[in-house]
Amino acid sequence: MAVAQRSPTARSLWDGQLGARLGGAIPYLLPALAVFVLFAYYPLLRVLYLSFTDADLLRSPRWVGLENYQKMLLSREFLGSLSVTTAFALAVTALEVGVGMALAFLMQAKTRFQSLLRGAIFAPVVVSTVSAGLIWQYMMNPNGGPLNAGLQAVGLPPLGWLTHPETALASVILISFWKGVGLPAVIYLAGLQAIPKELQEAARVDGATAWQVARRITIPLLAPTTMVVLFLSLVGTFQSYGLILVLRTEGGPVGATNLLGYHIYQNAFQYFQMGYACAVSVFLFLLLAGLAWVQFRLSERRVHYQ
Amino acid sequence: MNSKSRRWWGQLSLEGLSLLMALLFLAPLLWLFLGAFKAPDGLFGGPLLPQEWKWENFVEAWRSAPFGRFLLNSLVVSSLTTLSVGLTSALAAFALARMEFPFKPLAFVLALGTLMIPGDALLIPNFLTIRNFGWINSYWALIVPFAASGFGIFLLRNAFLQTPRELDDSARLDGATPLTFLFRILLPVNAPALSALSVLTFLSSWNALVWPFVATNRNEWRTAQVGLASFNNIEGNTNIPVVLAATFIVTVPVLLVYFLAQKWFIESAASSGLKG
Repeated sequence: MAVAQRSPTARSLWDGQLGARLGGAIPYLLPALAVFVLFAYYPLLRVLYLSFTDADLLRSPRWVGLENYQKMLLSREFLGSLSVTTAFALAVTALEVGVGMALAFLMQAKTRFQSLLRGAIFAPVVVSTVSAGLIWQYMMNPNGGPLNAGLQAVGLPPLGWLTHPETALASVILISFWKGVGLPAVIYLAGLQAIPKELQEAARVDGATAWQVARRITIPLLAPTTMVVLFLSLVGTFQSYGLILVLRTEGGPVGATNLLGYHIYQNAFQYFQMGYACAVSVFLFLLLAGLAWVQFRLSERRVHYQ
Repeated sequence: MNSKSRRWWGQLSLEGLSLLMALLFLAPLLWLFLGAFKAPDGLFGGPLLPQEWKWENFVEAWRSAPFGRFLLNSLVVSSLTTLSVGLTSALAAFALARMEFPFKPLAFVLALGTLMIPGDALLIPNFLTIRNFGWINSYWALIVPFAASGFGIFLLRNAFLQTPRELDDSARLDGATPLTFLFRILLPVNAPALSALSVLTFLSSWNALVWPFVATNRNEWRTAQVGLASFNNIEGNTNIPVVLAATFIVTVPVLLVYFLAQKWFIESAASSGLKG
């Protein structure tokens, strides 16, 4: 990533005529900062406060200390949801990194289908979660939907897809992958295009196979891109649950698709247990903040040793 | 096998793999387009192409729920959100790239910090806020919380910092005020960054589900996504082709724009990799 250099004459051109310097900048910053304070920083504090209360939608909240957190950590539903969410996030992320990178290599290859391929891989990113959910709900219909028809055509038994506890999560992972992989793929493609051709060509001239060039040169050079993709993908998948709303699995069958976000949504807006739902939100926030911290430390270390 | 024929086979397998992957990713969309025209009993186990093209599915979808209003709401909300994000980001980025003032690092950290806050963890307090404001079932609720973007500020600030300061000098010699300089010169010069930001903002606003789902409960204010999801809740068990027709109505405008400007979309999305 190109980091712009501040010019050495850092004195601004535009502040002199504006009188008081902070006063001059405030009108420019205020619209954005007002939105951030009102809808990002204040709610962050408020969700923390509410997580220590018995808030519902009706009465005014009463302080209950750590009760919600205690309830959360002892709740079988929460622990199940956490493990389902972790499996979901790791599976989708692994697919997005691995297949996303492979697709980027394919999208870079000069073929007559290059433009078609790029368009096709990215198209599901443009399709909304709702549309994707409804399309796949039809594709995965257990009573003769196109996927089961395809399975039967090649002599395999039909699957229950979203209706069976053993296949439901894998089905949601498949849909998320189809909908999501286009973004990492084009980010990887941009990364590939930024690598100077000379390096790979020189290695080929020295007799390296295409696979060796990819493994020893291209993929290591893509490491910064991989960090970005890994982070974007983990952060996105740990909080995603729109598909669960659309597919109407209600987190089931038997909790198989009960993603953390859905667990929060259900407790807040169906059971009106706002305090408890806020405690789970705080947990989710700390989890994502932890991820961000790890990513920050890793990228910092790379800078030092490079 | 000599190296020439090996290269030929290599190229052939690349071509084949590319076509196969493209078809695999497009297949669900193809099934949507065909399914939307089928009769309910021809949907499962029938031939790939509809035996009889049932345009009635679209008429029925359009009649059973106010999709015109849903689409209008989405258009208004997404356009105004995109406009606001462009405006607030340009102003803040200009201050951060071209002015010196106390607490400047703090302002920058506040903007970037929002990228670290998962929006979904704020669902409950933000819902309480707009309920206090009396904004449930209004455009305000759908636009204002998204009217500024830390990513937008970051993207435009970087673009502005790379723009030569000689432009500022000559504009000032011509007597331009900061605002005229920003909107007449600096933004037009950085049109690629601004348009990438606009495409990403419009798309995420158009496709948003959870927040509009929580912030509206009357058809009048529902966006296309929420309208479609609730339409499926009512009709999904009985008439799948009509639900597919409704999905078609909501999906095709975006896909059309996308396929007309594919390169632009993809390049904009690749710039979101700068986030990390």
